[in-house]
Amino acid sequence: MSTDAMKLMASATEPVAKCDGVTRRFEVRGESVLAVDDVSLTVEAGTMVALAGPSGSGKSTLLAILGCLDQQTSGTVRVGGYEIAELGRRDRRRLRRNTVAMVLPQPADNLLVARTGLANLAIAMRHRGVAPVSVESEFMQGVIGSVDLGSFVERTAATMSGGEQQRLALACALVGGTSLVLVDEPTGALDNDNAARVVVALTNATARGATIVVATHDPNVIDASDVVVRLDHGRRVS
Amino acid sequence: MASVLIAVCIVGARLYSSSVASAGLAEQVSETCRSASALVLPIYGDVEATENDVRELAEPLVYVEPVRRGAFAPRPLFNLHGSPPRRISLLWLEGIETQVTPNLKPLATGEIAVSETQLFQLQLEIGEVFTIGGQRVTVAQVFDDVAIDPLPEFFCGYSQLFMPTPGGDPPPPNAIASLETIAAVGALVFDEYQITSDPLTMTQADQLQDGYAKVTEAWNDRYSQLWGDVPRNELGSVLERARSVRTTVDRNLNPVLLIGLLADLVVLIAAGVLVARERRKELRLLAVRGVHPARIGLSVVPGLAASVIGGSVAGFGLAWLGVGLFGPSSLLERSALIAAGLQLVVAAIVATIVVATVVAKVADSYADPRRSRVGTTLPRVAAAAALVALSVVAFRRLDEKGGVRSSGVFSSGGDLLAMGFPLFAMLAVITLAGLVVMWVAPRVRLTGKRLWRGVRLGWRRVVLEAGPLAAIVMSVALAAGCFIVAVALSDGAHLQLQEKSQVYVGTDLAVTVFDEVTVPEEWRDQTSFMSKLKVKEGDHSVDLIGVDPATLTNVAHLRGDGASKSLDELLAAIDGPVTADGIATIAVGADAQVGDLVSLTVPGADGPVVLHIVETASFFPSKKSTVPMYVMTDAHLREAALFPITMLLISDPPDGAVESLRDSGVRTGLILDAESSFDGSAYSALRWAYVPLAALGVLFAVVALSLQLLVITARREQRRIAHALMVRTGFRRKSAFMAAVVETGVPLFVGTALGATAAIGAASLSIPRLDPMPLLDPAARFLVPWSVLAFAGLIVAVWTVVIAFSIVRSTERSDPMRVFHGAP
Repeated sequence: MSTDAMKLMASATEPVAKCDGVTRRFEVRGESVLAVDDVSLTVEAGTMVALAGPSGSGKSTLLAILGCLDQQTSGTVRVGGYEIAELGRRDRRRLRRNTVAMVLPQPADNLLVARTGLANLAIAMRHRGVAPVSVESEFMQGVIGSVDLGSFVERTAATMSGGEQQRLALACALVGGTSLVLVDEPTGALDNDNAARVVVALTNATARGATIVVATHDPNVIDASDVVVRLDHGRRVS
Repeated sequence: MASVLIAVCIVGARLYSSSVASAGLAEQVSETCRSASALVLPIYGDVEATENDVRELAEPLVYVEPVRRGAFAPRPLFNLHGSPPRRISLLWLEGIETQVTPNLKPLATGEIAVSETQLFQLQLEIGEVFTIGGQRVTVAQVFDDVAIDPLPEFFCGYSQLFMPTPGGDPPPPNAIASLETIAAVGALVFDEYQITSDPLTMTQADQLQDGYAKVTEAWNDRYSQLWGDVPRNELGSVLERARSVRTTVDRNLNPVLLIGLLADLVVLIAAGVLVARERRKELRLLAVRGVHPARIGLSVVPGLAASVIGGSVAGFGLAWLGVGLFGPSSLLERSALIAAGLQLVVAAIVATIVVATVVAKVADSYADPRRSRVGTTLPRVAAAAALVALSVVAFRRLDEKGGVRSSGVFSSGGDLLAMGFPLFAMLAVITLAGLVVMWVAPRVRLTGKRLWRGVRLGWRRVVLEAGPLAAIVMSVALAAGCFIVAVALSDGAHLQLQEKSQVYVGTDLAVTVFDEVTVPEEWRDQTSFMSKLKVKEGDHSVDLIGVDPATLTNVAHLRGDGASKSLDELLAAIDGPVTADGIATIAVGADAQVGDLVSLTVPGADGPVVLHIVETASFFPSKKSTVPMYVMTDAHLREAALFPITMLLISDPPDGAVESLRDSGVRTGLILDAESSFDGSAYSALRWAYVPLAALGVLFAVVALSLQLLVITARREQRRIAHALMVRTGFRRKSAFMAAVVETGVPLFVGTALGATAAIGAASLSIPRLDPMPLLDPAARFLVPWSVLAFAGLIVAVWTVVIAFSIVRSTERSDPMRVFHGAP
């Protein structure tokens, strides 16, 4: 499907993402495992949606489906107005580049650890086809401020703490002007203090208009979310 | 490593081809009389007036020896002692005075020098005066007969003046005279430009030939209307023969190169996967962000470039060194080096693209779940079936057309498909075996319960992963197979040459003699007499051979497949009186069977000579063609025929054997020497054609051992954890070592055995069909190269022990607590 066709399909009034009866089944050593079972949800623009539930409840799988990193077995998933099951490899890649940003659970996995924070931001912008802007610019200062990067943004990512890396990763996800930021267990590897800072960063980002879906079992993140979708054994329970 | 291997393949193939061309050329030049391949420019008329013009014409010549002036009066008439006029040849060559013994003093005009034999045969005396071509000449000096076994290179263009005729008659009258003397009798004066004695590349030889052609054309333009064209020379034939050797080798080199490059491609893909794994985090991040695979691929190019350039340079150097040291000649064409360099640059770029593409594909698969699965069973089975089909087609072609064929001094043939059969057959067998390993390994994963603990652990690690196991077994098999088949085929070519020469000559040296020979006492145990005669069996010619049963086994032997009985038994069967049935005879290569009576028409015999066939053989010492041969005792043959030719067979002849015979007054005729009876071109082509297979074997060995090291390294952490747990349950060092030996050794030994079997099968099918002279007995045969097999086994054993030791050492040195926490 061409980009133009995709654009025609997209509608400004639509939610940023919408799942309808989504099921994901895996085959593991000949056995069928149901990771996501008939889940429906809607993600409106400018909101933070928490996918909550214990380990193995299907949060990360649902997040991966929304991020075009996995594909549902049945049901429909629309992201940015596109039915992703109908997209080809190239368009799915384009969606990941322009519309959806993913923050992985391990902070260092989201960064080029040998580069500085600023370089990571610039690279993330370039990857999304946006010309890097000066660190003094209003936009960059806004991003840096919203995730509380402070002066460590000039250090190499390898020398940053886990919390700093995670906030930098969030900033990298936000800089490209993406429609949807998917964050997987952002506080799972952090201490309380750093986890709290990450929660503030997520809240600030939402306040600046970002749409975030976060998979978590951290009560603080859940409390800070606008919508909470609880999953258990793959099914939506609330 | 992949870059090194690619460079070795590409550069090695180019340079090897160049090396073969240089060696082939050197061989052809050395086997051809230098005078015969020289450019001879006649100087007619007034020599002093013309010589400068001729030398000016010859200035463009390159790669020639300094010019040699000569003069030859082929057959002027002379009158001697009032007898009817006869003809004598007069010769002078620049430097000839020092080429005879004793050296000649400068000959004045009207003076000649003759050899002792000529002096005797012409009944001349020193100081005697007679006329040649109307000019008065004086016999001024005498010199020893020129040696003819072999004839010195200096005189090779005039062998007819020194060698006896094929019928055993002495050479025609001849003498050495000065240039002026010969010119006075109306001789041909000439300048001779011989090929340089320095080794030449094919390119330089082509330049030499161009020079010959230009100078010849210039000379003909100026003088041919007056005196005819420049005499023809054999340089063209020499170069054509050298080219045919190169073409033959190139034809075989191409499939080897192709297979080598395919192996390199596999290594490149593995390298790409390895790079992608090493940079997994970064690449996954890029893929998750939706970065296009092309950009991901490009992002790894700067890091790859240094490795590729370094590897290519190292590979270029290795190939150059390898061909220089182990190739047929260290003389390489500059154009080949440049072409190899250019090809290598292209290959390096392609290699970089391949690795970057693999990295991009792997990275893309990190983010996209719909990646296609690589290496399903169907393509593997299809590839194996294709290889089997290719082998069958190649075998049929080999069976129909054979390999390199020798025709006179030319070698031809060397069909690409036919020559590639050994390689294709091995690939097919080994690929099929790889499929079997892939199928069997998962099914025997839990076997070995009753084995000793260390062996059981090792065995289960062997069959743990079918893919890596099959890859290691196949690479080792290809390495061993290529090496063994290369040695078998190139050694086989050498053996064929020896065996055919021995049968053709009958022994090491066969001298046709025209007088009764008294064999010196010290030669008694290494000589035998054989008589020979062409006779008629009905309308067909057959060879009648007479041998001395008491001494033939001193000088000759018969290969096991020559007859159903030994040479001794065959000779015993004919060693007896003539019976009423006829003369006891061995029929060689004839239709006659034991018990048959054969009637021959023998010149000089009163009536038909009846032979009683008592034994048969497919070949016999001195058999030279497909013409049937009947062998009886020498005594019986001389009773039946009046004029047989007598040959003295000498085994391991002492130096100067032929001269000794002549010195004792024996006239000699045809001399056959097993070492030089056949031109070696076809055999050289065959031998050189398969040597690159050995290099391919080394290449596969490197691939195999690298794969094994990769697998062992990948399992290091797992092995350390297992060891940390097992040492607490009584697992001892000895068991750990045994496990490592089994884990390392089994794939290597299985691969080596598989490769050796495939190679022996391929070589045993190929060698009889690659015979360059199939009409000449004995047929080519395959001998199992036991020494190479033993060498391969030794290498595998040593490698196994070394790697097992290093595995145990590395495992034991790890800290169990750190291992459990995932520290490297």
